[in-house]
Amino acid sequence: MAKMAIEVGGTFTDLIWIEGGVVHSHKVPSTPQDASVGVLDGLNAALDGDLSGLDRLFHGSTVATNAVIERKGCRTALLTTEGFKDLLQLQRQLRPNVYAIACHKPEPLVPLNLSFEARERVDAAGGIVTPLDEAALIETLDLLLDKEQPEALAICLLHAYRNPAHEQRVREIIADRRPDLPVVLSSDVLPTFREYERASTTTMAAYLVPLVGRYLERLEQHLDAGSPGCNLFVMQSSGGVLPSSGSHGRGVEMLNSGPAAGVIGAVRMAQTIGDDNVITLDVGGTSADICLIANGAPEITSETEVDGLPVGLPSIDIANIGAGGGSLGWIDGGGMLQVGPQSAGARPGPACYGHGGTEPALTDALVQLGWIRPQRFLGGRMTLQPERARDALAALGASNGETPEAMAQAMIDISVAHVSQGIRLVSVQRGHDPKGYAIYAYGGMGPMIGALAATELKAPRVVVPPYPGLFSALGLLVADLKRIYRETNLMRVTDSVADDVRAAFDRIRAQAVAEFAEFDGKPEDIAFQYELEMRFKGQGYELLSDVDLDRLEREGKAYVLGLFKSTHETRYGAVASMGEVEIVTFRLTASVATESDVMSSLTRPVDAMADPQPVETGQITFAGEPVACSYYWRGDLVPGTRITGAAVIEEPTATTLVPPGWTATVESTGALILISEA
Amino acid sequence: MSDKLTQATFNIISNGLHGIAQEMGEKLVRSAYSTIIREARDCSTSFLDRNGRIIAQAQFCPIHMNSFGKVFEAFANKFDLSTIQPDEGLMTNDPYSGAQHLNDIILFTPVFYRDELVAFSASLGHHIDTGGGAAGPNASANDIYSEGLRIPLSRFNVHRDLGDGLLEQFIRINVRPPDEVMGDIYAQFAANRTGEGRFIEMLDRFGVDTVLAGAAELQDYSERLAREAISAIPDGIYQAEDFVDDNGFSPDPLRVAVQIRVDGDSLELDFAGSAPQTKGIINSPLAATISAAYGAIGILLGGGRIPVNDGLYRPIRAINVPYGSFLNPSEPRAVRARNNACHRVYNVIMLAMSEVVPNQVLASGHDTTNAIGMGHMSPEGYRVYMEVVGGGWGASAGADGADVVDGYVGNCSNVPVESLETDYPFMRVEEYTLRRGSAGAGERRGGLGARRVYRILADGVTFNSYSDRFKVAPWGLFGGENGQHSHFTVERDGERIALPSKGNTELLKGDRLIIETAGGGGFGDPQKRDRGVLRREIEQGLLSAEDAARVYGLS
Repeated sequence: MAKMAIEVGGTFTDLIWIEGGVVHSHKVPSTPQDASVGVLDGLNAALDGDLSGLDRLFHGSTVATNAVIERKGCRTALLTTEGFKDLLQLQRQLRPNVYAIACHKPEPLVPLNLSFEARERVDAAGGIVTPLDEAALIETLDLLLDKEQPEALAICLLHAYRNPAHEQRVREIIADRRPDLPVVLSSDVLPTFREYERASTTTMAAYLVPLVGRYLERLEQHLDAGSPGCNLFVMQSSGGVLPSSGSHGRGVEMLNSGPAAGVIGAVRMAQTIGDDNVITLDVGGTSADICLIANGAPEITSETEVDGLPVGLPSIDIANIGAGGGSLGWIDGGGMLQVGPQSAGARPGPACYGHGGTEPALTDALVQLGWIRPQRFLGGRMTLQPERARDALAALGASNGETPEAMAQAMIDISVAHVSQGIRLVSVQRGHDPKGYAIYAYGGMGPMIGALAATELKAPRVVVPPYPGLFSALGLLVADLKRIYRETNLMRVTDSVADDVRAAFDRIRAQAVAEFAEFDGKPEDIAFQYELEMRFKGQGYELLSDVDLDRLEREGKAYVLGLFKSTHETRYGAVASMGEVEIVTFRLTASVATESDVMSSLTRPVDAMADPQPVETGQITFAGEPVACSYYWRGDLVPGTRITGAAVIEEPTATTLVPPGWTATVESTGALILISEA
Repeated sequence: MSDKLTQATFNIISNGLHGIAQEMGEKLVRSAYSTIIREARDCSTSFLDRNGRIIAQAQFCPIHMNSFGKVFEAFANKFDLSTIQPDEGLMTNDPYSGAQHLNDIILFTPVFYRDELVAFSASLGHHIDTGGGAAGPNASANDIYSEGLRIPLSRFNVHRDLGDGLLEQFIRINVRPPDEVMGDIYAQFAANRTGEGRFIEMLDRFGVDTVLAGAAELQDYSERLAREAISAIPDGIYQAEDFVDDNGFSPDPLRVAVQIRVDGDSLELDFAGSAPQTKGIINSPLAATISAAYGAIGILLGGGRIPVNDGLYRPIRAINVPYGSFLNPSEPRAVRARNNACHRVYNVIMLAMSEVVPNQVLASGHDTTNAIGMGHMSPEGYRVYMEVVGGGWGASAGADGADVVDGYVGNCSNVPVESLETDYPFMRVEEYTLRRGSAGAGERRGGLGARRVYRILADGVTFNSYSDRFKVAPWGLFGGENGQHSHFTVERDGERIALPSKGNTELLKGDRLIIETAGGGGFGDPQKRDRGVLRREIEQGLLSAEDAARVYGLS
């Protein structure tokens, strides 16, 4: 065993590795105080204390995301242009609910006593209006460092995306005085316009530098002691991994890396199975993560938020919907049945856990209808109490005189609708028709509702990958070394566009090659993807188009304009051409493919004669009717097996529902392919 | 609940309808051209049933959204809409036909399903310019004709009348930046089409009867919640008054008075006693006044809990607004700054109800639309800038007022300074901060106003604005203190020139234009304010130690 993945979640830390062509996994409790302890415990437990064989460790962690949500990052200071120290407090002035009495803005990461100003000014064209007043800066800086003792410093000066000279000079000045103080420049982290979003991203980057740096350092030290020479790789929100050594100062690029790892797992699985267009549906206890993969590539966004704070870095575009197995059903003041967003959490959990929960959760509804067997939950590791589920549902239905079955069905319908709405958000709303997409359903609850959501969306194909409850960890094992580079450089599309674009990409590519050399990535192994963010001159938001450099060379301006027009039409529908097109940002993705034996390890020969035997047959309630149902143990099913719904397929980390009218076939990787026969 | 509708289907349809309205709004912002829409989000979208009753609206500007029903009525009275065709649309900006002010162009497009008219998509964009006497609010306007281009209630054919057609050409030639205005109108079409497409998908899934039953039930649902909330208020007559500073010509304040009669599960509003219509641009057309009243009732009864649609309006038996008052002026009075009066409509409803439902009301915030506009003509073309600078929100029983947000009637975002300096090279922002010391003290304090300083970089820039709360301070409640007034000032050659709240001023190169917006009023006795919070505010530099001692008694 040379290669292992470890995924630290809020409650559990999952380990997964391949040994002798077999996938092994292990689960230990997470240690929120110092997550690196849980990681080491997990490694030692999984490997019986002998880490010496470990060659590469792939790591995904919620440590960065949690630090932001719980406001537990380091004491960070912010330097702005004179007159703008309240940038993080002013925000964008929006009220989330216009009929609410109170409006609460998200709490910024830097309090005002740690905000300070530099006398300087750059204009919108990058010209220097007021030179940096270094003497004054040094005076305020010394005062602030002495009084407030920040552990990191973010610098966000106006129009620094156009001219970073002042930000860079400030960094030099600080390096002279406090070489140990981590300093993050907005012109490095996010060189794009909109000062609040840029400042928010830059402060979040600085806020995480010491914390993530210390965390990775401890992890590296522990690993070095047990397994010298083992390389640690860290999952990024962009869907790639980077060596730990290059990630200490880049905690902000690790945000939401857990869901991103799952998406990458789905990308690889889909390549192996042959699905080009995929929508991932990762449903857990409290929420569902959804992502669209078109032509094998997940959508990337530069507009995400963590706890209400904007982050402008490119990351896999994952929609999060408040629907999961723990989502609670309740009747609101107007008599409308609602499900979620409140969740029963791990404690007390759904009523059927018997830990004191009295409100029905989605899991209770599934137990009530027989889709989850109480004695076989989590592969039999936990026994549920169905009578408690029934009582909770009965109480919910009492006011309307509805049966527990009817309430259960209604809760499921609403949850499926929430999830489907999330799928529409990433597909229909962005110009993609879900009918042409396979839904990859994983997480503990995804396989249960995947086919139901697919039915609603008229998507005919659902894939449940192997190890659905550990799929994010599996994704870590197959992620490529990858980094996305962006450069804002406002440019009109003129006759010289081919030359201009090539020159810009040449420059960015050189930077990427130099950086990858530090990761031992050889230039010839690096694959590059070239994209342009463009808009009609005067618009405020850009659209991303993939650029074929050869066609650009041959066709020039006409190619670029056509490219933008078709992207614009996909997203907004046909609109009369509104004048000049401008290029705003150049984006280059550099990646080195990871050699992985994961998919081949999973692959087994197809047995055409496979004759699956249910472990039990019984009856479930489906759409209000009793339906005969066969229960299977997934471990018994060999490739080639074909099962007709209604069926329930159980395994240690998830339960798959094959509804009536659907069939499930076991593919050679062990993935279940669910097809609607309707 | 209708037989066709299960509990789950109702939930799914109602969430779906709100999702449609919100997606329409996001589409509008994303594809718009002007900073006022794409950055400041001064626009709104709603979805209406085939009779023009609001089913669902998005989280944009309440003053727009609650008026769609009113303007639709005007269209229905003028045209036989049963004969409307799929390639037709309805457009107007006329305040005397149910619209707001001339900048707000309203577009309805019909939604057909299997050749049957089933609904209407609606969008409203605040357009950066619609002609008129100034590149922005024309404070000297004394009639609607001086305010700009009036688009009558128009039923038009998309293919015939847009592009080279009369409607588009007529608009283009009458506005200063035609590409921005038409670009934004096309963004409205894109939004409406999005709504249409999503609604049809919903009809495909659930069938027409079920969806229409769901939409009707959603209105009933809001009505039910609203009636319950009214029933919880003791019957009685509640009244209050508040004032708009002036009309921009004479110094006299203008009274807004309300009498609210609560009777069982319904109520009525009477604005008798409000000031007569007046010279200047501060008159509020009837549709705007009623929309403001609906918005205030939405907060009062639901606090965000009740979906705002036609059902919420039903328990309001009547809204009497005397014809000829400045809340219901006769044609052709000027109305550009109607939001001042609209905010006072909110204020008097809150104040009147504060004695019986203190936990459901707010103290006054800055409560005006601080419309900050500048225009500049150069050989390259006309540049028109408009932004709504927020101020302090009023405090309430449970919360401090938010710092620097738009007033009740809107929900405009600020414009990134980096964006506006790129788009408008004739100015530079030298300062944009929280305005310290502007909040009214209280157990819950009011929100802080904003301070924004522009350096003017060219001659020939006009400052065109309207605002309020320069003279009548945002009031506190239950011992909470008033917030500070707003001020507009020009610094020129070391001299400070105070500007009026409503006016057009020629600026010179080198001028510093200083916008200071009002802070919100406090709620409850300042002596009862949490001491830990006070110390934190001192540490943050938001409150001076002297003020903490003097106002809050912090020792």
